[in-house]
Amino acid sequence: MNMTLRPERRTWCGLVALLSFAMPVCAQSQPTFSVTNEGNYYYNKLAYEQGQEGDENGKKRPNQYRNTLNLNMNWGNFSAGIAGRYANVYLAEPITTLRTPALTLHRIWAKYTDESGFTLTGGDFNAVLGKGLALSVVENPAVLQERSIRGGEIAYRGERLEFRLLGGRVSNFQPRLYDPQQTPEQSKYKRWDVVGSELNAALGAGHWFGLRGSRIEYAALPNDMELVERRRMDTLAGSLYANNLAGMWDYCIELSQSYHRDKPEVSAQGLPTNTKGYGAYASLSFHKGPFMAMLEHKRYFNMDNALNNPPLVDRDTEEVYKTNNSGQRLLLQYNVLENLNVFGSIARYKDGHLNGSGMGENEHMGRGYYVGFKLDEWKDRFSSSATYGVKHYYHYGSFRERKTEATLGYRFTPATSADLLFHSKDLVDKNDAAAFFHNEWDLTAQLNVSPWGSIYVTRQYIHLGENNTSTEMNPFGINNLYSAGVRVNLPSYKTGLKGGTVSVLAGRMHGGKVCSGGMCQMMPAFSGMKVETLLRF
Amino acid sequence: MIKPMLSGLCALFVTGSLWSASAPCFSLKQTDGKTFKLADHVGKQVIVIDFWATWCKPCTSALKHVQALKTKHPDVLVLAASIDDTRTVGQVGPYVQSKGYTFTTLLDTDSNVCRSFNPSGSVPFTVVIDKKGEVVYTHSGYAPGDETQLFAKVEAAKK
Repeated sequence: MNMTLRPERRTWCGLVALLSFAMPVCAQSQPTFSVTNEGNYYYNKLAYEQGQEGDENGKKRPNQYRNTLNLNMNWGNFSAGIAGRYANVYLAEPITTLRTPALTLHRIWAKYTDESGFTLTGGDFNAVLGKGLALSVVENPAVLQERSIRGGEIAYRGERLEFRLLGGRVSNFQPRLYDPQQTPEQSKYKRWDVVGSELNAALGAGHWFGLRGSRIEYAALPNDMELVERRRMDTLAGSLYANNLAGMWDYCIELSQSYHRDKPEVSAQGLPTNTKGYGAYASLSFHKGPFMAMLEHKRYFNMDNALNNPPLVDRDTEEVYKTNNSGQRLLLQYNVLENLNVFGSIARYKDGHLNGSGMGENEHMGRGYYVGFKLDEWKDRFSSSATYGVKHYYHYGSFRERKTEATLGYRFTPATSADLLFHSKDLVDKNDAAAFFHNEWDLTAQLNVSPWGSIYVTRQYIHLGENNTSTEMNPFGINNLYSAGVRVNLPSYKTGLKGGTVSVLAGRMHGGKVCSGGMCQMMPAFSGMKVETLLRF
Repeated sequence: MIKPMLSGLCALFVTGSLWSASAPCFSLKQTDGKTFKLADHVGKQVIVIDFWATWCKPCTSALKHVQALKTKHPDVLVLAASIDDTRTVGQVGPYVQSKGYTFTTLLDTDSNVCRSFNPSGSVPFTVVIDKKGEVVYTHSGYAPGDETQLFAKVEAAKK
């Protein structure tokens, strides 16, 4: 008899075993539940799909709706959750698009946590080992990543020793998303199976030593399940770190070595392709009184295992080549007053080939700085912040990117306030200042009535240069876009409703990071109306 | 297959309005290297957890009031749990120290704990847990004045 279980079934068996073998120890004698429902509806008038089916005269974008229902349960030392999602079509941006209507089991998990720091998890969970050089599987709405490991994890977190052992299959990763380079069927059958482990031990006097390792088995399978591509990626990492030494120093050094191996039966030449890589990250920070300084260094070579997320050593979460890059950064911050701090950062980086071959086509290098301040409720009335940053970089030419962010707020009464939010960005060819690639800014005026919510209007402006043919940056072909919205916070009661929000936004937006009502989120370009509800019970 | 699942989910959603929710047990690393275990505190004192990130401006504005809460109610356990991932987590400890904040700062680098309270994972997100270990208040976002309601909810939870 064949007793082999498919990986998904092994996960469910593990979950059942987890829930059945242990008894509750903690305070609650009966289970309690919480429910969260998150619904999005876009009434979309956007005329065409961006670079996908059809062209500017092509197919109209559909209205979108998506609903996610979460049920969480707590019972003593146990907690568990299940999240189901239904979406008719999920258009976030071209590479993160769910093409067909689907009801999916978005997340399911169960966890046992005892008082000693021992945790056993089954189902969907996120994991970061160390600084993320070996493994990082997290959901990051800022870059529209929705992924988790569906499997199991055993962890212990003590005062002087920590360990973690995990394994499973990465879900909600590219298999569910549309890759413009491939058909949806090809994307569907990509698989990432992963195991990882971590051990951290206190060395004394505040210093810790850590060891991490991961193995990723990647396979791409077409419809007929004939193997076309297989790769094994092993990564080992070691680190030394300490926090708040002598009340003023933090440091971290993490070194990693990776080994990638394409299976012989699938490489183009019929031979195995082996590559090695390494990564090094170090940070040193100092803080004394109101002053803080942080110095970072990175050097990654062939380090991209598709499931790592090492520190960027840069201002934003902008996309950079993870595979080969190096960089340094110095961040300074000083609290001039209790409510006022000033900060600045200077960085340089180099992406692309670091093998000494000189400037190649893919090489991308530059330097950047930013400075700013933040004033919080001076005299309980005024708030303001501003950041100005410039990045010079070289990639098929010499470019300059400038970014400005500024806010101004005034509190009329203890519960009523108004804000102006401004953001701008431009990119120019340094050799020809007239040949700019794009210039954009947005301005939002917002009125807040606490705790009930906010009402706001936004104007977005974008101007593409002659050399910029992107239809994604200006999907409407209109320079000025307007939108208005209201966000209502729902009350929280001891039983029943535990808060939530209802948001309505109407107008046209380019999409991207949108901040309103004290929260920021990524939104796709749209024209029409968006209704979002979030209810917690 | 789909209809029964939908029906079940709808039923849970409706009956959910009658439930009270307890806080899930968790343990997290503190910025000073120590380990925090919620089980050591839940059911003994009122607990406030503020989920935040260094890159989130409303979050850092709200932290000032989280510190004020800690100063006004020393008997309340005030926690600020950072969801900064590996890209920015190195700034968390130095930032809090340089601001002179004295609340306990936790590192939820993979956001697992944040998502167990708030599945959407958005920040800032504030939770108040009463002495029975039940979640009595949650709030997303921060606008000036929101701290007034937070203080009132903490006062009510202490009674």
